[in-house]
Amino acid sequence: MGDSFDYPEFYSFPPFFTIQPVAATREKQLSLWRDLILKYHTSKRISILVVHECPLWENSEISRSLSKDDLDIVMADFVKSGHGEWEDQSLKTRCRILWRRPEAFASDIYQWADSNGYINSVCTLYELHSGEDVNGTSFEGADEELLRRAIGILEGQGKAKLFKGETSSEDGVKFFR
Amino acid sequence: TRSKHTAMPKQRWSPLSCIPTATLAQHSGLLVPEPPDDEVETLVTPPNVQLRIPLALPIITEGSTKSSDTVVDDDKNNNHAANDHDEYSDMYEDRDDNLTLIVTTHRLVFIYKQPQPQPSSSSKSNNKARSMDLSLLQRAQTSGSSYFKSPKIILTTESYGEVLLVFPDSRMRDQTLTKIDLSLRRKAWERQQQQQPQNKQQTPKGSGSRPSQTGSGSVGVAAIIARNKRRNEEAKALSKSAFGDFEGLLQRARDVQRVIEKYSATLDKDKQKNSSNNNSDYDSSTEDEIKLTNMLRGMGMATNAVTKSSAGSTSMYHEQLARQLADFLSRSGALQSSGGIMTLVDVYCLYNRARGTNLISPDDLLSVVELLQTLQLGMSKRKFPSGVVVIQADDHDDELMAKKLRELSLNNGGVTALFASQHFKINLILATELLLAAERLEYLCRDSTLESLMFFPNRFFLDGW
Repeated sequence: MGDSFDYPEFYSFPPFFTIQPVAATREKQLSLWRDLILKYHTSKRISILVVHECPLWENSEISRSLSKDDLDIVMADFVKSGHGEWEDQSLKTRCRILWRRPEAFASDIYQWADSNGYINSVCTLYELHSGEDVNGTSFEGADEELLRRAIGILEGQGKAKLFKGETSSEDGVKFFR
Repeated sequence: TRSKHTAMPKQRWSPLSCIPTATLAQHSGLLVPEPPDDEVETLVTPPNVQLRIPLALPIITEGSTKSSDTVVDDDKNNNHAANDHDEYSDMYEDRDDNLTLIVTTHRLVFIYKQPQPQPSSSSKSNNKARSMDLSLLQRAQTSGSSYFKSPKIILTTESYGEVLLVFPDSRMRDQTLTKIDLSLRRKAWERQQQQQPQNKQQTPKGSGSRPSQTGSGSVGVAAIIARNKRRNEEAKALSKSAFGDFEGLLQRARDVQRVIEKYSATLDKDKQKNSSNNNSDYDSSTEDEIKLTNMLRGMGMATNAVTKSSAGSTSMYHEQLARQLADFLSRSGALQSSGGIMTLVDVYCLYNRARGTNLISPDDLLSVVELLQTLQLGMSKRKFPSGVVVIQADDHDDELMAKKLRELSLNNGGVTALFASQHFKINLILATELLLAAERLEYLCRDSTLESLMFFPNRFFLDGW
């Protein structure tokens, strides 16, 4: 593969590209697919999986690829597990990657805000996903839509409030105790 | 009952105790022919024959030290007269019930079940056998059976006096008498006695080959020629009467089948009527159906004229056939060499080929495989999820096979069914089933492409991924 992604060992195992009929084996296999999709899109910083453009479904080195039916199974499982969300429910062509569930993000963000002294002060959305302070956090590089989702949850818990800025990236968040 | 106890333990002596034991094969429960091995079974009855020896002096073959000088009365009542203080006579019952009688060319064999603390209804390991050489019989005849008495055969013997075989119906009695007569006329044991002094290989029955000339005990060439002539004439007469019988039998069978069809049509009508009333007559008519089907099956005519209820019952014919099949499969090593599993198709072909004549029908085989497990013959029917039916030896282990297949796929970068069948020398369909079974046990996983279906070791669980 031309790209720099470090493909895991199971990606070269031919049976990986046949969805297994035996339930226990299939469970394990699908969890590996979920992992692969997440890792790949995280490392490439791709937040929307466009199904027919994704290079994961075929490994030309071992001449194997997922059939259309098997691909449907993988995507359905991915979405069901909460790691993905269809942008277009009926067409199912574009899938937003949620590598952490919004609730998980919400608590991660609040914890970070607390330990970095942001309680009762404001930071912008931009700072939340790309600021220096967020280096190494789970929401570093996160999709803004996701962040808004997470903040929405915090708002519901009374732990934060979203303020409108001049541009959408300048929208700010204030954290409360 | 009337016994007065002393130090001697209470033991039951009966006619079976008076005659020598016979050997049954360990796994199949079949009768082991006595040397020199050309004994042939000509009839097997259901287990409802009674053996009766009303002796004046019971002759017990298993170590009894007492003797009795009691005079035993007529067989009708068990009252032993005279010496009441002799417990020995008290312990002799003059009859054994529920025996299976096998008539052979050399003997009468009685099969009985040894009573055990936990009776299992058709376990072959409970079966024991005793026999009576036909050479000891002087005469066999029927007793005049009136309406109230059971039909019997009276055997006149030197050793035991009069021996009675009691049957539940006269048809069975007549059939048995015919076979006994046949064997008595043939005198197969005499032929052996003449050949044994000559000390050479037995000539196979009915082959018509001439025995060689030398011999210490024989009278000379003239005797050999005379014996051959006699044998040929016997064979000729026998086949004439046999084929004559056969034509008649065939005609009767056709007539019977017509009657059956009419009868079962009436039965069906009655059943429909009764099932709505939930009549108790229903049960007896089903029993009749079952008896009829079994009778026809025993004659080799499978009939579909009767309903599913009779398919659930077993007959003597099928039980015997099951034992023979199991015996063949284990003795010939066929089952073992294909890894302890064979498809029904393979069994059918192999077994019929070995039989040569008197082939079994596919229907027979289907009925027989159902019985294998209940009769505990060391193998049983197995149906895979895909519907493929096989006969599987009881010691076959799915896990072991799965491990072997995984080993094979490890060493060969994946296996196809074709490869596995060539490697283990088994049927392709069987190889497929075993691969699928190993997959279900999670030893293998599959790689399905347009070209083929291959199986790999299941690294999803093995490799810490």
